[in-house]
Order: sequence, then C-alpha cells, then structure tokens
Amino acid sequence: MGERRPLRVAVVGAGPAGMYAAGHLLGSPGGTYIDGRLVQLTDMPVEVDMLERLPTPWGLVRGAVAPDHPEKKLVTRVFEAIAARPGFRFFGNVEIGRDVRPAELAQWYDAVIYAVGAASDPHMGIPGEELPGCWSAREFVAWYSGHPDFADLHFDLSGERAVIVGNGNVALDVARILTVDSAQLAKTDIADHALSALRTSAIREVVILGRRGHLQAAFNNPELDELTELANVELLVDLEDLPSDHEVVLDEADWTTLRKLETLRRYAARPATGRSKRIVLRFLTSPVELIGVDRVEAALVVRNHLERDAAGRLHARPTEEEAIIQTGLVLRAVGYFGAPIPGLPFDDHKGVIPNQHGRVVDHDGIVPGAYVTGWVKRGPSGIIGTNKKCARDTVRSLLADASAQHLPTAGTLNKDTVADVLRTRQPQLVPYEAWKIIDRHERRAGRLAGRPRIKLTRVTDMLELIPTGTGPDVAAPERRASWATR
Amino acid sequence: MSHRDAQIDGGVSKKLFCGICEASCGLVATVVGGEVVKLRPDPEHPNSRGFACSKGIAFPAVRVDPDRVLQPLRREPDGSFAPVSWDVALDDIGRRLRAVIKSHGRESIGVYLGNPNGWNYGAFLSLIGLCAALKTKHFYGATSVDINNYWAVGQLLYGNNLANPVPDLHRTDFFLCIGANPVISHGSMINVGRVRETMLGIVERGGRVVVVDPRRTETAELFEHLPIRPSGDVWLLAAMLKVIFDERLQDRRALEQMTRGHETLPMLVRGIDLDRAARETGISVERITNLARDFAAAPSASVYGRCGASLGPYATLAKYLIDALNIATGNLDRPGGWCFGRPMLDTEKLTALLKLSGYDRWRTRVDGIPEVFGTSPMATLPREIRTPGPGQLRAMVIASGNPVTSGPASGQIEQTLQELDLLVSLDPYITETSRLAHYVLPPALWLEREGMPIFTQSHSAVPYAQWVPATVPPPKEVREDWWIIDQISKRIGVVPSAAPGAQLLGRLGIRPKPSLLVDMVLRVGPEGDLFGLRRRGLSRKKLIANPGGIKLADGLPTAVLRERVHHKDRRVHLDHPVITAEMDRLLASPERDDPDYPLRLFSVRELRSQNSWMHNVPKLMAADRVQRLRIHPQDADELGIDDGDEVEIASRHGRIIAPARVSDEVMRGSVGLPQGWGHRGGWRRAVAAGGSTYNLLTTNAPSEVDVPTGNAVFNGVAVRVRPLVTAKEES
Amino acid sequence: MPYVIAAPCVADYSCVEVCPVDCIHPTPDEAGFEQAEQMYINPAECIDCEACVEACPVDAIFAADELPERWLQYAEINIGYFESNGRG
Repeated sequence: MGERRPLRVAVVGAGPAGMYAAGHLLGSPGGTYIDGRLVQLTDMPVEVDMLERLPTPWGLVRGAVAPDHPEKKLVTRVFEAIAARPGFRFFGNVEIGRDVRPAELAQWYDAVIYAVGAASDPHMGIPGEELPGCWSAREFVAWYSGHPDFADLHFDLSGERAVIVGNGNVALDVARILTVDSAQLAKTDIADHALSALRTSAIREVVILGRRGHLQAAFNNPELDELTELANVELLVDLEDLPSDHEVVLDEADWTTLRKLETLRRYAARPATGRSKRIVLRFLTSPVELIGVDRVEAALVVRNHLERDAAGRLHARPTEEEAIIQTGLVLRAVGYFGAPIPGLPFDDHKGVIPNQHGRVVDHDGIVPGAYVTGWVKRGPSGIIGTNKKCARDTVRSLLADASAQHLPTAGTLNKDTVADVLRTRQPQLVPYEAWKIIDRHERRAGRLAGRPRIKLTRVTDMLELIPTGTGPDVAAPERRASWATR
Repeated sequence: MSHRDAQIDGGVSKKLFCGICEASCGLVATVVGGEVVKLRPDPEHPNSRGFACSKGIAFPAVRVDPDRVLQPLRREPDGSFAPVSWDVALDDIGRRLRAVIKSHGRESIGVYLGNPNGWNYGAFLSLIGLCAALKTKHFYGATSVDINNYWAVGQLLYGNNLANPVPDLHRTDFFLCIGANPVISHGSMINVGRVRETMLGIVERGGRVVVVDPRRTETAELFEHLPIRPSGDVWLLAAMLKVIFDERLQDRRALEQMTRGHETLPMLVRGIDLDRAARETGISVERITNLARDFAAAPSASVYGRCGASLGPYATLAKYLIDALNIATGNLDRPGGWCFGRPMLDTEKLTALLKLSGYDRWRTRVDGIPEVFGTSPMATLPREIRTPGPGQLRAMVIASGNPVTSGPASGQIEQTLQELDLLVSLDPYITETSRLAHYVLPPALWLEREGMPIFTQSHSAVPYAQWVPATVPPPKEVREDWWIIDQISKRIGVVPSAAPGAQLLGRLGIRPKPSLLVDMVLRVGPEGDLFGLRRRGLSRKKLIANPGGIKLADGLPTAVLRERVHHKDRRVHLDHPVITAEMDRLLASPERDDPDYPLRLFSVRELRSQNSWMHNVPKLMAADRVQRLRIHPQDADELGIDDGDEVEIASRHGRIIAPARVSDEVMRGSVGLPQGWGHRGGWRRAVAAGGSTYNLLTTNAPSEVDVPTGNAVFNGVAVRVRPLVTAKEES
Repeated sequence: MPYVIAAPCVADYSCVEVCPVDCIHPTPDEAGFEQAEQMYINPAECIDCEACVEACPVDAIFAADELPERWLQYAEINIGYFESNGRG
C-alpha cells in the first residue's frame, strides 16, 4: 500500500453476522465497546462490499424471526444505520460459486469475511425420515417467512396433529405459527402463501418432543413464557413420570433453568381448560421411526432416561418403553448445520469453517485474508446480538492482521473496478438503492392492508421492480464525513 | 485532605454538582491521583435526590478528550492552529483590542455569553462585568435564542429581569405544561429534582397534567397530551385568558390586591376570535374552553411554558400570557401555584444594584431592538458587524458558545464573524465557531473549578445552597474563564466588573476575584451570616465545607410577593404598551399558510445532547446518534417519503438535508428536527456524526423575530420537505 | 425506580454501550454473554438516566412503572438475575 488507500473488505452474507461485522469495520463516532471502554478499532479508512445471495439483506432476521415477533425485527434499524455509513456498499443477488469464487474474492479484496450462516440442518437418522410429511423446521420457517428458495414448498396441514422434534426456540416459533389464530397472523408480515395454507389448516395439537429432561430444555424463558399467554391455545406440560427434581442434581441448575422449571411446574399443575388448540411439551422422548406408506402417518417414539457418565455428564438413553403418536406432519427442529463452500475448508463434524479467533484455518494453518463470523464460525447458537460480539472479535483479528501487513493486498481492486467486474458476472445484481425499492414496495403494500409489509417471495418479482440502471450502489453518497478521514 | 473528604478504595470522594445544564444535579466524584475515576449522582442532594443523567456522568471523558484544546492556540494564515504561550496570546489580544479601541472606541468590542456560563459564576460575572466596563451594547448571548422573552417579561411584570416564578409541582392540582419536555430536559427555568416522579405524583394525588406539544414527547406520553401546531401556543394562551374573562372565572381579589393595571387583561384579549384560535392551534374551541375552565376551577394550578413557547414569533407575548393566566386565576404566590423561589444569593438584588437588570433602556444601533438585561439579540449580530458607523462591532470574545450552530440565520453569523478585526474564543474544542477565531483559549471545565449555580439557584423547587471547590486540578496550560477575561481586561485597562468602584480599585491595582464579590453579596443577603452576626447564616467558606449542599427550605415559599416584586408599589404591573402592541400585531397577522412552505418545523430535544457541545463524548455518541426529521405518516405518504429516506428541508432562508423518521409522534403538518448537529472543526467524533445545521433555515430579519426582544424564531418555521432524490432531479 | 429490559431484547447490547454506570449485564466480555437469553439492568445501580431506552433498537427497555402489562414480570426477572449473582 503506497499512499494510504482504504482497506477493502468483502463481507459475504448480509445477515446480522455480516452486518455487525461491517459495522465494526466501518466504525462510528461512538466507537466499539471493548471491556467497558468505547474505542476506535482503527483509524484506517475502510470500505466494505457486502455480497448477498438474495436480492434482500438481513439474513435470518427477515428469513426466520417469527412473524409474531415484530419487535425483534426492529433490529434492522441497526443494520440500516450501518448501511448508511460511508464506505458501505451492498451487492444483492450475487452468489458465491455461481457468480464469483472465493479465490477471486481473496484476490480482489484485502480481506474477505464469510458470514454465510448455517444453510443446512442435521438429520435424525431414523427410518422413515425421508417420507413426505417429514421436514426440517428450517424449511418450514423459511417457507412461512417468504424465503424465495422455499416459496414453492407444500406442507400437508390436513391432519389434526403435528409433531416437532426438538425444543429450542425454533420449535416454539413453529408451534405458535401452527396454532395461533390465522386472524392474528393476517396482521403480520407472514408470507401470503403460508397465510392461505394456515387458514385452512386442520392442525389442533402440536406436540414438542425433547430428547432430554425438562431441566435440559433448549428453549429460552421469554419464548416459554409466550406459550403461556396465547389466546385460544392451551399449553400442556407433561411432567408425569419425570424424575423428581431431587434425583437430578438441582443445584447444578442455573437461575435461568430454575425460572423455566417454575414456569413448567405451574403449567403442569393446571387442569386442561378445553381450548380449541393445544401445544404439548413432552420430555425424555425421542422418535425412533416414522411410520407410513407413502407419507408419514405416525411416529414411533421411545422414552428416555438420564444417565450420568464417568465424567458426570448427563446423557439421554432409551428405555424399552415405546409409544405411537398419530401425526401427518413431523418437523425436526434439532438445530441448524453449516454447508461447505467449495474453495474453503470445512469441518464436517461441527458444520463450521474451521477458524481461530475468526481467522480461517486449513491443514496448513491460517489462510491469509480469510475470516469468518456468525454461525459459520461458532456454530448455530446464540441470539441476534450474540453475533455482534462475535463479529467484533473477528474484525479485531482482521484489523490486527492489516496493521501487521499480513493481508494479501497485492491484487486488491479499487472499488469501481470491482463493481464493474461484479456487474459483468451478475448484470442483475441488486445495489442498496434497489433493495430500498423492494423494501418500499413491500411496506406500501403492507400499509394498505394494515400489515408491516407484504413480502415478495420470488426473485423474479423483486428484480422486475428495479428500473435498469438503478444506482448508485452506495447508500449515502455525500452525506457524512468518514470517521477516519482527516 | 480535609475532614469533608472520605477515603474510598484508595480514592477520595468529593461532592460537586453537574455544570452541564440547569438541573445542576448533585454528584459524587471518586478521585484517584488527580483524576475522576467515577462519577455518580449524590443521593443526599436536597434537590436532585440521587438523580443525574448520562451526560453528567459521562462528562469526565471531556477532560481527557484527545480533541480537547489544552493550550492557547493561534490561527495561522493557512487556517491551522499553532500552540502559543498565554503571554504571547494575551499580549497580542490586548494589543489588537487596544488598536480597535483606539480607532473605534470601546463600544466596538463585544462579548458572546454561551449557555454554560450560567453555571460558571466567575465567567458569568466577569463577562457581564467586561461589557459594563466597556460600556458596550455588544453584549450577546444564547439568552436571545430562548430566554430574553422571560427576562423582558420579568422586568415588566415584577421589576427585575431575573424574577422568575416557577410552578409549584409538589403541591399543584393542575399542571399545564406548554412546549416543554421535562422528562428529557430535566427542567429549564425551573429546577425540580426527580421531575418525572414529581409530575407523576400530581396525577397520583388526583391532579391533572396536560402537556401541550406538537410532538408526543417522552413527557407527553406519560400524561394527557394535547397536540398543538408549532407556534400556536400564543393563541392558546390568549384564548384561554379570553374564556376566563368572558365567563368571569378570574380571581378578582387576587388581581385587585396583587396587581396594577389588571383592567388591561380582558381588553388585551378582547379581540381574540376563538374560531381563529382553534385554527391557529389545531385545538377545537370546545377543548380550549374546557381547558380554560378546568384550569381556573382547579384548587391550585400553574401553567408553564419553556423553549417550545419561547422560540416562536410572539415569544414575549406568550410568556406574558403565561404569567397573566397564573395571576388571573389567583395562583401567583400561593401553594400549588406560580411561586417565587428562595435563592441563597439574591441575584435579582445584585443585578438591580449593578444596574444590569432592565428592559428597553436603549435600543440596538442598526435595528432599534430594545435591550434586555443590557444585551443585544443575536438576530442583530451580523448587521452590527457589517453596518459601518460609530459603534460598529469590530472585535469579539465568544465564551463557551457556538453561535455558528446555535444562532438564528446561522449562515450569516458564520460569514460575518470572519469579518471581525479580532475574534477570540474560549472553548475546550475547535468547533465550527471557534475554528473561525484568531485565538482559541482553553477554559477550565466545571470539574476543574469552583462551582456555584448562580443562575439556577433562584428557581429550585427545594431551595438549597451549594458552593463546591474544584474537584480536580485543570491541566497545566488551562485557565479558568474569569482569569482569562481578567487578563484580557487588564491589557485594555479595565476591570471586568460592573460593581461600583471596581474600575477605580483596578487603577489602584486591586482586582478582586469574583468569588470575593459573590461571597460578600451572599453574606449580607437574606441567607448570609452577616459576617458572623447570623450564626446559622451562609458564607462561601461554610458552603465549601458542606459541598453536598444545604437545604434552605422544604419547598417553595408563598405569600412573599411584596418582598419579591421590585416595583416600588410592590405590585405586579400588567399594563404595558409593548404587550398591547404585540397583541395588535398578533391579531393583524395574516392567517394564510405559505403554500410554497406548507409544513411547520419545530425543534426536538434529545436526551444525550445539550445544545451543541456534547457530541464528542463517546458514551453519548454510542448506539448511533443520527439527526432525523420526524414526519407524520400521512404527510410522508403524500410527499412520497419512506422511513429512512434522505429528505431536503427548505425554508425561505435556506435548505438542509436529513434522513426522515416517519412516526405519528408528530402532528400532521408539523415536522420535528433536533438542533445542534452539523459540526465542523477539530472535534472529530462530533464532525463524523454528520447532520445538518437547523438554523440555516431560520431568519434574523427584525420583522420576523420576536419584536419586543429580538428573540430568535426557531419553532413554527415554514418549510417544504421533499425526498432528496426529487430535489436533485428538479435542480 | 429503575429501568427494566423486557422480552424483545436481542442482546444487541447498545444499552451496555451507552450506560454511564455499567449497570447492564452480561456485557459482551463477561462470561455468560454467549448463552444469555437477554440483557438485564441491575436495579440497585441503575440511576434512572434513561439513556438505554432510546439506544435500544428493539424498544425493549421501560421504566419499571411503564412496563406493558404482558411484560410486568420482567421487573422481577431483572432483579432476579443479579440476586442470583449473575449465575443466570
């Protein structure tokens, strides 16, 4: 770097992980929070190009946060503010692999941060799992959230019962969407195709199966509390035959778990009130086979019990006790799992890109200029803001490497050249201004219907809205002096 | 270490109060090795009772701000600043001022008193004193933005500028709050500790709080919100007064006993057409009428209007009507009503003694605007600099002020300041104003000097006395404001004091510090120790030994009118030609809105900002501080504006850009924007935060500002708003 | 009368960044942040300055006396986090 040109970073993935990373890189007048102080991570000028496969940004906030959690979606205000900072550019509808390769990004930019999340999920590994009627909750969530890749799915909602395997927050989201009055859903930003399907849904009961005990339940307290407040939906908690709380060592349980226990006990003690729909929480239960001829008709489940191993850890082990649950819809909500990106290393076991403090590592060690943040770095854990800290740490590694001249800067293209190249590879790339057109369209449609927005669910529909030559590809051209410019 | 300091964890605990705003919240500092390592609210403070906001607590960051000016700076020809010694700076300043005085006279030198001087008694008195010594009319201040109307009315009604009755919130049954957001501002011209709880307390005991504001502010959403069109408040007040007199709801006895000229009140509002008032306010005749009736019928009531009511084109009339409403309904000087404070230091007497207090004793040179408290309004500053002739303003000292951002027609201020022969700025930062100066001189911050809330101590809801020593020493080359002013004054042969005999003493080499004068006035005043004769009385020494403050009373005094009114007949004087003329002007004003500028802009207060000077503190800038224009969804729809869109805001006088926040917190037809953004200069975080200068949209034309005082008009500015994209296409 | 963080919290920790008295936990550098369900305000240290309310992007923070009805229990929850010595 002869004279001080800006540091040029590509961020792949415009969800919270990528957006927070862009935020830390671009900096703000208030600074970045580290150990109780607000500091400027760098005084280098930085430019960030965000590449996103969909025409729309915000990742799982748009594509998975439940429609009945509109407050959580307000976090996009943070992302919009980051996008408005000088030095930020968005290139939507650009796909790694199809339009550009990691090796090319590595050359064109000083550094690349992969924030691609976890596009897959683990299977249960039981017979019958491939039967129609068994889906991953990830697919169901993406479908009702209007994700273009899942808009054409068809879920059979004609049975009376759905079974969800796994009891994390996603499981509870799905349970709510399956049971809440469609009149309520009609006021949200749920995808129209899901709204029509749910309107004619016959599902009355959703059973949520947890492999381990109630003290090991994966849902968070706010999500559990929410289940207790749903109008017209009854929460049933099956604590029968669970080991008494003395058997399981209670003082290991932290305060968060004790709160869950209190809520669960309160609901276990309640008599059924006979509301039209039910959500049932069952613990120490795993499916071992899905039964059906050409579609799922029932789930064979086994009772588990908890055993301690030599190291003192609890494991769920199956007993002989089996049962049949009649159901036509089984959704596995056992977590997400990363998908490999050709050209980058991948840990098949954990479903992440191997890394140290956010720096990608392969068999030969650290890969210069390659970084990860978010679920593809940590695994699919935490909530939206967890990614802010994760991104901060990755960005610190990146900036340290930049200062120490460890980044491969030789082939870095300036911003106009790289924009031209990207446009050649993908003539229909979607700059930020174009996303704003889509956003405005959805919100206007929503306003007329009394909803936050009405989502477009097909990429072709989105691209059609954009007049040719829409630019500029910066969000806020002359508006603000860059923090780092003297 | 004296007995009053306590040892805590290796640090010393010191009490002080915050010098950022009027609330003057009591604080406790933990000092280790000469640095403030921790700052917390003081739960024992008699008035603030353990409250302080994040601005005060975060303030120590200013002390160690890398952008802080730590030595005198001289502007070089290329615009950069070079450090110089105090002697070099002061000598050069002195030389240049003497040259100006020689050619143009002392009256061509001026002073600008920024807001922070209100809680810096040394600076306050020195700057006022300098102007008095120079016998100059060029005494400007932030006061002519939003407070000179108070002072003009104070002089007219009560006989002293600083006479300032406040609402007795602890006992009132009905609080009508106009154009104020105490939950966020923590009070202005009223110092009520824990104001949010106190206001909630009114409702808890069965009373009412009505908040009149174009925006559903943080205060309004806790109580009854009555939306009003920006600068419609003068119509609301006049209409209410008319209803009260038409329906004979006034307190005749109070009017007859306490006032002179009360017959003018019904005549004053006789010409008010309630239907027009309804249109001007956006509030129905029925609601106005009921409000007036309820206000008059309440066992005790008070109406209070602050910045919102003081930034319109009829600011003086509005303030007069506020007091008139309180007086006419018999609420003046009684529990739960409109009460005088109990100051530890009688600044009213002091300013009367020094012949500072007054109104319309002279008029400004160019525009003929009446003086208030010996000040000229900022509205006239550019013309006073530009218009040649005797008394033309040629040199200026700006103390802790940022008029390039805060003043009306700020673009003109920026241009004309650069035409001065000499501009000296006392400022801890190189701001958009101080960067224009020939010299920037670094003053001590409130943590680094003695403090006595000279200005606000007269309107505390729980009267108290407080005087604190410096908490930490200032950095090596930083000096206290009063010392800087004194040094400059010395070099031009004056003593910066309005006290009689001060100039003579100066010739004898005697230049007493401000603390001496203030201590003397304190000790001979009603709360003083009379130099030992009154054992329980106050003195500086006693207060500094009790820096946490001493409570003087549990609440506001009542039945003190005759002692607090300065007019010789001890009555409130209600009959004033200037007020009648203002009412005529109001009634004659055209009703049509400007079709080219159909929206009304008003100023929005932000919690983590204080005027324009806190935007370099990291903690106050964290979590994205962006200046946004609040616009109602229907207006936004009609204009094709979406939340987050960049918009152009244009008035007859200028245009700026801001992102829009579409929200129904504002009324239709009104748009709200925070002031104090759009920085330039050397304070890097503030500059990086961007934003635009609100006051580029405002005017300083004499016919368009408040006529009696020249107060700026920042609210109700006629504007047009459109998407930036559209504005660019059409240009 | 302290402030309370309620259900919408997504742990964005803008509140932590603006709090002048460091009374909001867990901070991103404290153990437990990555497992935290939400942030919590320590009512014993909160000075009622309200800076966090406007900083929170999801409007999750309320004065204790202004909590919406469906989230009234969050006052106790914020207290409980600190009483459990942050073991939560």
